[in-house]
Amino acid sequence: MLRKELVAASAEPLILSLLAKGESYGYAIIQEIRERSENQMEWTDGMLYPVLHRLENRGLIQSRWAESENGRKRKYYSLQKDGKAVLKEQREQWLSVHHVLTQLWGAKNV
Amino acid sequence: MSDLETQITTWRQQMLAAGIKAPVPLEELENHLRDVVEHQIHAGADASAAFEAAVRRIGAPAQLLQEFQQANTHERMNKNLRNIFIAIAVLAVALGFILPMLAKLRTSGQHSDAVLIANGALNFVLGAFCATLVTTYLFKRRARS
Repeated sequence: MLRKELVAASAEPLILSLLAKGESYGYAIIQEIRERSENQMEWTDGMLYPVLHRLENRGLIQSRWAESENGRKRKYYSLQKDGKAVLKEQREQWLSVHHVLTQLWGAKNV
Repeated sequence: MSDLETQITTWRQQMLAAGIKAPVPLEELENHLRDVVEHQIHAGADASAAFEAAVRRIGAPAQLLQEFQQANTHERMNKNLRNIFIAIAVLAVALGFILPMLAKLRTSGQHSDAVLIANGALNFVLGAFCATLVTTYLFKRRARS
């Protein structure tokens, strides 16, 4: 299981990256992160929404209410132009960290 | 009302009592809660166990409230920036008209009213343009931070 601090630090790039693939909603975002990390990234589900709202307040994503397949109203989020730019910056930063760690640990141990 | 609906109603009341606002973000949290319950029931849990699991996954109301308040701090700061922009724009308008007027007083009779108004309008446009540039830059910088 990943440390809480690392999960928190990676929340924004994870959400932006998922939304770069297409619009989504809270439950689906949580499920996809859980599956892709093979349950290594454990979030308290409710904590996703303050992050989504913060990203929306910053104009990086936008939301719309729509009816879901089960008839309930659901809030869908999509990536905005500024969000794409921020994602590009964050991607470069995370790749830099990855690059340094890979060098330090040696390719065969990574 | 089914037991599950009663439990969800009680959960909503607890969230509201803790300070989580409706409809936003409570409606969204409730939708998530219902998604988790459905998923759990589909996986074989009974309704009561599914509800308990969903409540645990959503998290404690007090902790959620704190996170939402932090998220909204950003919005408040953006509003402050907007207010600064309005203040700068108003200042630009004032200076745009006052400065040429002062100039006219100094050189009374040398400028026509038309020239005075033209000077004022020009200064206003320049001032508003500069204010827009500065504010746009500040907004963009904040959005990326």
